[in-house]
Amino acid sequence: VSEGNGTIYAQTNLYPRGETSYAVVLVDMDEGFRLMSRIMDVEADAVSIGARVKLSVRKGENGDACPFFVLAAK
Amino acid sequence: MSKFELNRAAVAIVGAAESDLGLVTPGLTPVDLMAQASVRALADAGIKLEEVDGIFASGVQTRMASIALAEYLKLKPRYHNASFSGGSVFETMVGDAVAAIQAGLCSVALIAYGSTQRSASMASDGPARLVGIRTYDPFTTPYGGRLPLSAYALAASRHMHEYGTTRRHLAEVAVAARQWALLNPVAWEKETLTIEQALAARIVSSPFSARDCCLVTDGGGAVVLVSAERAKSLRRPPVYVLGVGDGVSHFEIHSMPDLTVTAAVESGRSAYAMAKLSAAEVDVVELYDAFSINTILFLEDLGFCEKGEGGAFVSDGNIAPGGGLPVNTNGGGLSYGHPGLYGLQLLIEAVRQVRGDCGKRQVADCDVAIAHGNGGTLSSQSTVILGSAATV
Repeated sequence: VSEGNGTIYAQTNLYPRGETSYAVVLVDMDEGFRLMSRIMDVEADAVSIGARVKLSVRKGENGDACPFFVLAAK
Repeated sequence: MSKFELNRAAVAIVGAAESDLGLVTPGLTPVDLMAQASVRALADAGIKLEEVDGIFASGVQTRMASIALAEYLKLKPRYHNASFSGGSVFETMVGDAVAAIQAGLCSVALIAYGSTQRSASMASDGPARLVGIRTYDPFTTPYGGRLPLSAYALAASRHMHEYGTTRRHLAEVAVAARQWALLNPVAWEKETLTIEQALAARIVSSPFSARDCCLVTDGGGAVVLVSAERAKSLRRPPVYVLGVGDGVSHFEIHSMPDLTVTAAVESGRSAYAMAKLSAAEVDVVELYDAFSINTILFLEDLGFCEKGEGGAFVSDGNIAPGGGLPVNTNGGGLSYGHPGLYGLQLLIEAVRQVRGDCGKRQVADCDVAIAHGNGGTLSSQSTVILGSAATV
């Protein structure tokens, strides 16, 4: 079972016109596996490779619960 | 049972041709373009259509491509292959064709592709977009990346993080491709591109701007392969298949073990071993540049420079016309055209360079060419090394 803590391994920022930017990332979890996700609640430019992140389960566009992430508290 | 091995220079490419390119006549289908290129490639080879007994075809838009092409051309192949492994499938098919010819499964192998990607994307409602083959995937779709684009952007971000590669390095790749394209009459792009213009373009999925991304064009092509023995009596100089190799590292980008190292390491190693050649002996390099980072990754993984040094290697016009190593001499997917899958166009340019057919963009004393295909999201890698009669 994962504790939900990880580190950003790779990052790409998207800047859709008229919408808030966001960072799509690959997260290396502390338990040793990697997954794709998105950093929530901040604009893309606030995110960087190496940043610590925390799991935040939220609903995706189709209503399914998905493993999103937020930046970990410093 | 004895081990079956592919032999260096046992088979040659004896015909190569493009279909119409860019934005084709409305109403043409992918199979029309496949067939058009096939007829042109056979004319180039001086081989009659009815002699074709091996058909290898693939496509995003074409179901059962080898069978569709056989019907269209009224052929009854003894051997056929319609596999789909992304844009590298046509390099993989060169190896398959060599095996089939050596084993006697066919004697005249036709590899063909066609796409109306640009026409189809313009015809759809809303903004122009790729004809998609992706469906909802719980491991990627919810996060809003633009795939496959964002997958390559993630790889670029990691390369920049680990090795100090910059957006300027990526821009060097795009500018070199454009300079080659301006020497190719059939390339899509006709305007000059500067480093500053490339850097100023709008970011679509960082670190990529539109200038880091391949074109969306119509197009297609075909190549014809026969035994080396038969090749000697045909109208054009044979371009021998010296080496082939394949590698697969993952399917989706989240499962790529190291985003800075591709399976081109393995595909290249196999191809060089079969060809008994090293990177230093390659005269011209055709790499699947769906995105600018690809060129840097494949130059490293195929041994043209050390890992992490690709950015420096492409700087100061080193891969542009007049540079130290000619790379993507047709203008590449970035500036020549990218008809959905680009792998067959790599083979055509490599053949033409070895034959000396390339006019203003011809590489001097070109005897060895490498055509390196990429499929999926850096997932599948396939390397083909071609050589002139002087290499045999």
